[in-house]
Amino acid sequence: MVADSEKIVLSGTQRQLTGSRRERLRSLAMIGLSASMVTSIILVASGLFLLLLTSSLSWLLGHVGTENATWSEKLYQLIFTGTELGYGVSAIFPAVLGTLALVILMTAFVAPLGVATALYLTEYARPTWYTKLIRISITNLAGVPAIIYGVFGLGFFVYGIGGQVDQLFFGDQLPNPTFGTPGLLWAALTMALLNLPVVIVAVTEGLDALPGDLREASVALGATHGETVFKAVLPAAMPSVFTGLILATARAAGEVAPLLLVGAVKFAPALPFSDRLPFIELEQKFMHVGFQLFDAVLFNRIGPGDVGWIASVALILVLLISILNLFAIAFRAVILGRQEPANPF
Amino acid sequence: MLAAKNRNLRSILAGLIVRLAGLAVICALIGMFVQMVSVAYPILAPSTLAPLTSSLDDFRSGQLLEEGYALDATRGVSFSVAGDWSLEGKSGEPWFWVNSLTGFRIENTDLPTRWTAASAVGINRGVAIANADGLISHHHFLASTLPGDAPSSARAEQIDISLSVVSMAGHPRLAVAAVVSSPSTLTIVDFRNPQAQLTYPLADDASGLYWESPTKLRVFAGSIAEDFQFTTTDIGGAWSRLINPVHYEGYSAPNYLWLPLPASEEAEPKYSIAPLLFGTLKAASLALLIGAPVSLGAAIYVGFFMSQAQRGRIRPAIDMLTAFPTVVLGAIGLFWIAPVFETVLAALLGVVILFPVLITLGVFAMRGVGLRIVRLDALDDWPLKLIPLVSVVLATSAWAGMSVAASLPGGSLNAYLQQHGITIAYFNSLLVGLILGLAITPTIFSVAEEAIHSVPKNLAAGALALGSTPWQSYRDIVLPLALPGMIAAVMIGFGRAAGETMILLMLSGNTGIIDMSVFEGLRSVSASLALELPEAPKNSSHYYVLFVMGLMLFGVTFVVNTLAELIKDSVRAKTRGG
Amino acid sequence: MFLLVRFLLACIVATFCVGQAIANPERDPNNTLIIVGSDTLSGLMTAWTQEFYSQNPAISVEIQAVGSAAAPPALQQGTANMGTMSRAMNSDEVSAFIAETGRQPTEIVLAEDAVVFITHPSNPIEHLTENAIARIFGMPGTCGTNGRITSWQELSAAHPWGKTRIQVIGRTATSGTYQYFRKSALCGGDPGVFINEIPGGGGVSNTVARLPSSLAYSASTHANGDIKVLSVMDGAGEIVSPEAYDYPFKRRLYLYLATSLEDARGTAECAFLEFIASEAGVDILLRSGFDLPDEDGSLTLVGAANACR
Repeated sequence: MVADSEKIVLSGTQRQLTGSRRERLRSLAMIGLSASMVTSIILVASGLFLLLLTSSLSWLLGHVGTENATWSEKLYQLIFTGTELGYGVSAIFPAVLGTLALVILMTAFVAPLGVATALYLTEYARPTWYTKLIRISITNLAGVPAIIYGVFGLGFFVYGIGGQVDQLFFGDQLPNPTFGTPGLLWAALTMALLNLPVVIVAVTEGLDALPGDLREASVALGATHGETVFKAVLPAAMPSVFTGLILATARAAGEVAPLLLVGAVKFAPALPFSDRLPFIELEQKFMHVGFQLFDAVLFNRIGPGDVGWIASVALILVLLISILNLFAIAFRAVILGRQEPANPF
Repeated sequence: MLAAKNRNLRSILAGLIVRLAGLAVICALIGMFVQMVSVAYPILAPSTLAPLTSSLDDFRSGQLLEEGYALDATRGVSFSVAGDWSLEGKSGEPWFWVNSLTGFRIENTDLPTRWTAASAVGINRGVAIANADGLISHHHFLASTLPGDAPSSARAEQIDISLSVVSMAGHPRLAVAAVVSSPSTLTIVDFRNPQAQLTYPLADDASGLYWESPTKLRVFAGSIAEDFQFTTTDIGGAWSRLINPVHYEGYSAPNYLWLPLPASEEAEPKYSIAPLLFGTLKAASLALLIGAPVSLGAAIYVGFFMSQAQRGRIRPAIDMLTAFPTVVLGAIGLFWIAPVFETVLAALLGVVILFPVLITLGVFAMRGVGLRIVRLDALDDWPLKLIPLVSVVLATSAWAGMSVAASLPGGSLNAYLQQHGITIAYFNSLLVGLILGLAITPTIFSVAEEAIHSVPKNLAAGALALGSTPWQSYRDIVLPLALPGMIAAVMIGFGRAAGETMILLMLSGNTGIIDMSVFEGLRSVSASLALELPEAPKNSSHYYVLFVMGLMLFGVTFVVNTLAELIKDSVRAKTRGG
Repeated sequence: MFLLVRFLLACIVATFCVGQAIANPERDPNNTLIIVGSDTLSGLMTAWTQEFYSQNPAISVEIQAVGSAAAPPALQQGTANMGTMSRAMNSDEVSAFIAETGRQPTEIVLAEDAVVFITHPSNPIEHLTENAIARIFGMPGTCGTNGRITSWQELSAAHPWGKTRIQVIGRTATSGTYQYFRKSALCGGDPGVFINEIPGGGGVSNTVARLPSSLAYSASTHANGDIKVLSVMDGAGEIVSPEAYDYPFKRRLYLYLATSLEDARGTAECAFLEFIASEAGVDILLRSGFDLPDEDGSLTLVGAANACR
């Protein structure tokens, strides 16, 4: 291998020793072009953001669209009461709460499994074909299209497990299904599966960045392997767990495709929270911010003056995800930039 | 002592749980595959024929025979076709189209004149004609294209069962016919799947038969009626009907049609998945064409020419694009780009052609003022310094594109293309490719950048020290080592584009056509899944076919991602060696 | 580890607090009204349920509106108590329902609207013939017509847009409007695969309002705002506008119940039916652009509400 790389260096440099002015100009041009690609991507992203922002602001502050409401009234309508755009378009507040319920449930499923898998890969397993298989599975889970998770969720969770649960526990209500129909629980499980690789990758990255001394010190003090992992390593890697969960949350807020199949609905004014255990209505269908945007765009009459309304919903979604991403970056910086290991005890 | 034992036990227990989690990840992937295969599998099931125990009393079966369920070649038959037309025939004589209103009789020369049994297949849609040698042909009725003219017929399939046909009954819904022949055999011929014949020996020579329901067949043998259960899927076990062009009823030639929900219960659902696979490939390829050059270029810069610290800052900036969920990108495409697509297209062409030239010239011009390659890490702030230049170049080239389009003969790009016979669909593949390319850019960038960055810097440093230019050291030293990783990045981007749903659902127009033009719409597998799966009745043929498509999508992304991972692995091993 | 546990605990506590704060105490989990089906009717249903929910907060309501084809399987599997359809159930769907549940679904004629042909206001065209409709929207040969019409010139020789392509827009196959259109305007034949299929009726109108060369079919209630509604020339050569009583593409919209009205007495279904048959309910119906159906002996809203009492 080493020989390989050296050969490449040598063959490369032999050609380069003939480097001319022409080569220097080419170098300049190519570097300029590749740098301009970076600039272009950032410009396009900012351009899209500005597009949404201006459209949203001109709707909020201007006099197009809804009859002469002030910007605060419009904002209030947008969030709480819903705007009438030819058809009733519901407010985004219930959708945000629906998304929140989804995220909470999803976190409960994905956090333990994601963290445990990351711990296994970094703290327990030696690299073998088996860990390679796990890594390939993780890459594949990350690469499987979101819609396929929806298809799987519908076939396996909803019709498969849901149908079984109904037969076992809700037999008296059959043929009306309780859990054998798309709902919050199945949507959360589907999203958890979708986000499993996100969490695993983030946590693995964090664990890898921890210094080996930490483990050695812990073992030297007489801790068992389990104690080392769970009481020394994991607490130190906690920021990366949060990074993973936040990234998962951002993805759950923006990903609509699987929800088309496993439980998001156009209108469900009853919020999916309750005052009874487990405080979330597991079998209920729910509203979702991304789904709401999809529904508003394709199922509602959007006049030229109402485009700003769409832009506002989109902007809220983009801002929500951006803020989550910033938090994730901050947590990531905490663990990757840390020089000294934090005192875990 | 006890405490220590307890602690050890807990440690072992924790290890066990953690190991199970590792296993669970593999199981999740395999489970998804197995579950989808098990759902989709029944579409491959062949048709079956099984006798039922119930039978009719003699009186009733005799009555039914009187009512004419057994069709008689000598007595003549008549099938109503479309409008006022019907098809009449007698064995040994030519077939005639007969108009019940005007009384016109027009000879049909396409159909065989010597036959022993004939039966309508489906309702008003076609006829199956069998002769004494056991040659059975299936003909579709085609409505005439001129008002008042007689319909015509087109032969779709011919099957030889090599038995002397006594009587035949066409299926009320599917292109299937049940045939009784002597000596005492019942055969189900499936025109959808000519190789798959079902035969069943009867106790006695049968005289007639009819379909009581789409799944129940009644056969008269002497004075006894025997019932059979016929089960089939909408494609009759013929895989090829999904992929190959099919001669659907009412069409004069085989073609690809994705029309899974028929207008009425009698009509034939059409499940050609080829247009959807084509659409998915087309969208993904266009997205790569647009997204890959930009993201690879950016990856080269960030991965090789930037310092570690600056790289940590610029990556999140590029990841800004991931904050736009695809549903938002779809909405942007729908409301802000599609209405002005013609202008966007002209601007895009301008940018594609002029951008490289103008940037190169601009960089040369700026050589004296700040853009100098002294040391590699002096390149850190180029993207920032280039913001004015890139903005100006983007605006200029877009403006140039638009003004060239406006000066074309015809006054606009649209009119110009129209003069050359090209029309642009509102929802077209290029629009999808553009937005989809934007969506996959961060994915390709991040994987490719990782690959380039993982090449040890000291290799390039050696080259630089020997006097090569930075670009040379990239091209000749880093690129050969990073190339597999960059290819992997493009493959992952392809997988992402192929599976993307919301953008395609909103912007592709969902037109199930096979057309190479980038100005035509497309329909993708993912959008069809999102649109149709929630409504497809569980365990219907439509449901199975959708799962087959889901499985194909899963398979493609599985292969692409696994290959990409293996490539990355081998690169990792190689560069670690260096 | 403790941090993780603490984090999860905090989540549960937070959920509990949110639940306490916003949960609806009157809510009865078994009293849920799930309405699945037509997109044409979704606006009306949303308006109705919003009003109904504010009057009956104990009954939770969920609306899923993707297309009429979703209603029969949902009713059959019991995932919905009410199905809205912009076409009648076909015999296949009814027999599947009977096979699964052993009873007939209850069919209520809810309202009337029309399938209209819409284009951009700048388009000079005023009416379409039935023959042209088949040649624009159908596969070649639909209804025994000859050849497709692809440009405005082919539709009407004097059209100023000449060879400009007609951007044909329609609904997806799961929509009841699609199936109704296919049966009534395309003689049950196949709609062209070249049609741009848009999942929702609102989306169709949005596109038509932004695209001058577009031509679409849509439910009349979606055809509002900056859109031109075309008349149709029927077989007798008479030009009929959608408002006219003899417009050929008028249709009924249906509400299906999984149970019989007798069994539904005292349930959320009946409460909802009584609400929508009330003056306030009918007012919302008319305001949403629908018409009340003619009496012809089929079960209408008022009849259903009476049967509920």
